[in-house]
Amino acid sequence: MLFWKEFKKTAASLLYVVYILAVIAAYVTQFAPELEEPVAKPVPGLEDYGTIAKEVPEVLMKEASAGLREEFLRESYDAYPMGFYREVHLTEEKTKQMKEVLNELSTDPLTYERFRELMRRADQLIGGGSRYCDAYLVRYFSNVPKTYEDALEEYELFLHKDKVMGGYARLFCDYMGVLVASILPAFLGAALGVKDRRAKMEEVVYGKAVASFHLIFTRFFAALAAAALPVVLLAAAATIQVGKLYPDDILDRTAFFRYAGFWLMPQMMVSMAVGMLFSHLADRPVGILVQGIWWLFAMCGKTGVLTGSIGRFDLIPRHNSLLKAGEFLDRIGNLAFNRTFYTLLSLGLVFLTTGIYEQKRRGKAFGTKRFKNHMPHKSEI
Amino acid sequence: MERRDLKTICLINLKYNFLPHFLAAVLLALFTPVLFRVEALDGVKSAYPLEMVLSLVGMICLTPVFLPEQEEGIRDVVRVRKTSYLAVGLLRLCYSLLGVSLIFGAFVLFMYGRECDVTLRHLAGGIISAFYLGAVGFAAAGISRNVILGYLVSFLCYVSNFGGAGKGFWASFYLFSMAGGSFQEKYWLLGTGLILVFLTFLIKR
Repeated sequence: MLFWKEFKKTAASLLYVVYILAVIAAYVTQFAPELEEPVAKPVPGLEDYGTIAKEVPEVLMKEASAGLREEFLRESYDAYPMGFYREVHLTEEKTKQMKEVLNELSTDPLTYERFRELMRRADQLIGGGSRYCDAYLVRYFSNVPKTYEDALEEYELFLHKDKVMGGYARLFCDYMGVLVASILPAFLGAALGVKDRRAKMEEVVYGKAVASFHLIFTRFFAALAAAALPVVLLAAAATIQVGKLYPDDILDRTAFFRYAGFWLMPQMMVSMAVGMLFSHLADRPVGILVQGIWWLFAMCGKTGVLTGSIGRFDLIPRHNSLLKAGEFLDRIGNLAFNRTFYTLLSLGLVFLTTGIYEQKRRGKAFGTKRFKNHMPHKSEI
Repeated sequence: MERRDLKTICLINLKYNFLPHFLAAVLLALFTPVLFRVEALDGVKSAYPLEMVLSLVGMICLTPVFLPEQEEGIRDVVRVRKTSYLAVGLLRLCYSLLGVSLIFGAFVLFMYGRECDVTLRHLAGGIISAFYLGAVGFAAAGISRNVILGYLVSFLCYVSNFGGAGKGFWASFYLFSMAGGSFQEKYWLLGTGLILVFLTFLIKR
């Protein structure tokens, strides 16, 4: 069967061995340390329970006004339109308008409603996606100390809503998403693009009657299955390890697999598709560079807020916490949109690859022109 | 090797084997100021863009030095030529290194123009980090005869530095040491890079 043949082609390579070692290393160094001891139930009477992003008007108004003033003086504003980091500089006209906003912010008394309007106005001037937009405002400027009740509520969510495993599964996806799912599959994808050539398969494959569409899609999903295999096995290992850590609680034993499928799989798909497409296009492993640059942007674009950092177009959504389920659930809509988008994008990219492959088979070259000279047309065979 | 041969070898290799990778490296260099704000940085902060992003140009340029001979057909052909293909490889390695140095030189000048506190030490340190990453990729690709594997190993070597300097022995191989104010590690990186290159030639002989 073609699928198994293609699967073995990826799985039997030295590249795949190094890939597996990297996946295991990511698990052991990043996620495994979180499994050393269970999350403790909060006890009353402590001095510090950490902080929580919560809409507290007095804090929010003071901190956000100060933040805007600082960016105004710096003449540069951080923004994340579409989830990518941008440094925005305002034109003179807009700077004047921003000054008016700031002036009004320092008037007394200022109602909370008017303050929120002014924040929206500031965000509009910056061009959207700034720290003052509705989605980010509270998260950036209203971090208040957690009370015992807050901490307890969070713990209850972890225990009963997430049934323990949900929290760990999200953390697993967070750590594996940074490297394993977002860039490493691009290497396997790029290998698909140049493998035919190495194995001198071109002449054989190009002449065969298998439709390009069937071949490329099968090849893609076979390599994807190979890439996903160690992740699924580690999800199983994690399920067992977490189970041992919480022997007396009710556990959601499918959480790791559900989260990995929903969160990591689309990311692996798009990474592999980029690797494959560009390598077919250029006949060189260029896909690695393209995905590498995208990955660098995605990594540098993160603001330091690593929980609930889930934009609609983030390649790497982050939620680096076992707790804060509420914050995550608030953005589950974003994540669903995001993952659907990337799934469709990756399928589109694979489809494009089939187009390129078909053109090469017909002797019309992309990248190098080598096939034009010695590849017979399908009808000649 | 006659001078005329050398010139032909150089020109052909530059055009077909070097230019695409060099352009890819230039592309990355052009993206670097977008990733890192390069303006009025002090001595320590100036090391960030050089070590953390630009060092990847070493991986891009040096890893594919033996890419053309990856295909057995071509390898068989070049092996019987009178010019040793290892000599050609060495030549490619040299001009690739020159290319890396050029990119670093231009970038350091650009930083200088934007009032960053950069010195020749930054230039040397950045090139050494790039050379080390490149040498790791060069060795892995050369020995395994698989350039993608070379990129992967070099890339993993790069990302393993993100958690901070390793402990004990591994701390000497920290790629981003200048960003932490230390230059000592660069000697280790340079030495190890040279050993890797030497070993690769030895094995491929």
